[in-house]
Amino acid sequence: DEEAVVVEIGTAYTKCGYSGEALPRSVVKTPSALSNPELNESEFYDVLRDFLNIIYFHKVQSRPKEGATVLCENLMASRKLLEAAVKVMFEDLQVPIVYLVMENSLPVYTSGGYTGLVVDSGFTDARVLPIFEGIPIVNSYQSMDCGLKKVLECMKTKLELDNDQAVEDILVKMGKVSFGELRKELQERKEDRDYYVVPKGSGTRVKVSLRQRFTPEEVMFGDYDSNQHNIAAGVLKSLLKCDIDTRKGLINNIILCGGGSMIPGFQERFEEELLNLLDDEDFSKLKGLKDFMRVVESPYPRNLLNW
Amino acid sequence: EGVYAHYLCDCGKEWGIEDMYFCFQCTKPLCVYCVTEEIDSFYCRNCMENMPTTEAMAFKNRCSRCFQCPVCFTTLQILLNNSSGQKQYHFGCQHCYWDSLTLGLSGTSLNELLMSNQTHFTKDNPLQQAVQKLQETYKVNLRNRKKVMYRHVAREIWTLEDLQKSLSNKETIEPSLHEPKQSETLDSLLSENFEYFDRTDIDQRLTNLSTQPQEVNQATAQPLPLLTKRSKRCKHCRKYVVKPETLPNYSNPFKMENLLVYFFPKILVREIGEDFVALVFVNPTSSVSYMKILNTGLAEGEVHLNAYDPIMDLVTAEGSSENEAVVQSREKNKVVINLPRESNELFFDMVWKFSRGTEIKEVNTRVHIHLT
Repeated sequence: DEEAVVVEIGTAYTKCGYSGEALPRSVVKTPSALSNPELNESEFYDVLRDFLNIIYFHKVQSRPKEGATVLCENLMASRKLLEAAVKVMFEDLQVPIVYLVMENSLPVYTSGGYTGLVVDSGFTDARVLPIFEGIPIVNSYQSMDCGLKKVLECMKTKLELDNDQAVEDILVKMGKVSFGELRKELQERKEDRDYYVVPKGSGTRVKVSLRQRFTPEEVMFGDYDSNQHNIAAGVLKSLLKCDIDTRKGLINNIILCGGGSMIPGFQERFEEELLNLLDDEDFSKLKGLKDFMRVVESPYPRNLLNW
Repeated sequence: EGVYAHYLCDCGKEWGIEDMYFCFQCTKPLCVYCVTEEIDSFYCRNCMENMPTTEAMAFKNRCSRCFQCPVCFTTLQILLNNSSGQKQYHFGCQHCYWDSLTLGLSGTSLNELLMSNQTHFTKDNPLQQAVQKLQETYKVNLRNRKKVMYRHVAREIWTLEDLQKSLSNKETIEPSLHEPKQSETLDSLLSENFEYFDRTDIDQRLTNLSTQPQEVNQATAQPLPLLTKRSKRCKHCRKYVVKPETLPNYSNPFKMENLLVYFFPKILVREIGEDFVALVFVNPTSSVSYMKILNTGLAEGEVHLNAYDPIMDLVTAEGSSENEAVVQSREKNKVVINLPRESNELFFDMVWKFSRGTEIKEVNTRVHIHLT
């Protein structure tokens, strides 16, 4: 087969599969050791050797010698991790060619054009990277501390749970983001509802209130006026750093990707926040762009867009 | 902790005898990292059938006949329901009692059942088509852009016509309409019948990648992923160390399975004295073998070990070995030797000579004994 193996090692999950196919063959959890920036290269090498072995021989089930590999790298990840990964591929697995691509520059192509604003809500943080005519504008890269890691920590303290797996389970099954009418109602009315659930990984019953289900939006769409993190604000800040001529094309092609964007209600709330913030003083220069904002709808699952 | 013997591999790491392989050409023990793996063939873990590589690739490395439960991932069984007089086949999980009737998947014959499941998988096709369409668009774009690029490089001065042409080529961006989307109301959330176990968790969603359903009753039974049979080769001389059997029922008597336990003596600790350790060396081969222990302070001569042959029972050597004084005792195919020790760690080198057929192989290794 002439298809290349595509591997994206994210902080939380690694997606692997063949190029040319619509979906990755497998999505596995990335070993937590790989997100530790303190490790030196040989330690990364040991962890990666075992991990990439599993990826190639058990998940993708390919013959690494017989094809190229595409490795998606994260701009902000440790350089040593990347070097160790490439070393494992060349030495251990005997991959003939490795292509390195920048993670966030790729989803633009799912919109059919070459220009766009990629908003990746990942595990460690939420990132915005504008891409113009295929070239990422790295100066305008914005990173906001509203990753899913923070959402999980927030939920942990609220629910008073210590178990990581249980909190992740609750977030996946119950997390929501409010927008439009629901958002107004939540602010105005005070009613609440308690759910008693037994999450995976914990044997005990946990009480989750309706308000707590909406924790993700507190972290990701915090109040801009009180200096809380807000993904939409990050997008606008990034736009301000871009050339004035490019802004129209960029805002017309906003692409949401990453695991966080899978939370129900994320896209709608994002659009709402963006439109509201364009009225804000700080972004008055961008106000004219209000009419041109468009978030790309695609049939493709958002958390796999980078892959 | 514990008392055990480790062998040093060439790469610098130490391993127990069970973790290592043996290369005949280099006569060296190899650890897991010193063998390169290759996928030889595929098989299904449920029906145990071997799948030729081309078929495996066509089905995306999944079995065509076996399916896994979307809830607990165990293999699904085909169940027959005879109650209404008419035969109804459907899938069922013996572990969590999920059945495919919830999805409406059933058939009057086995073939019908499998066909109805296939239609479920056409959901993947629109995505595949979308991806292909994108690929084609970009290929066309690439050709066009290349033409434009070269044209610009060729000319040094832009004329007015060039400028007008490139401006007119630009796509105009239309303002987009923003329609407010319908959201849920607080009342509906307060009164909805929320069942935690009806929601899919992250593993279930990641198995159903194309749809990633939020509710369990939307999840479909995925075909079972295949497992691989991998062969291992020595990293240095590229000779086969382990080559698996392709056919499931045939067990090859000449199978290539060069594990170190079959060729190298196993070292056990019998007794730990104050200043010595009594080690037992067990001969795994079926002929008399010889070993030398170096760097210990004992006389460095050859000691022979008897062996167990499958046909002739105990095989003893003719005469005694040159270094018989070192041997404490002999039992069948084992030899007990006392080595002097100063601390809880003992290092020594070993030369092991055994015969395979008419050849005599000599292996050198370093041994590390832990005593805690």
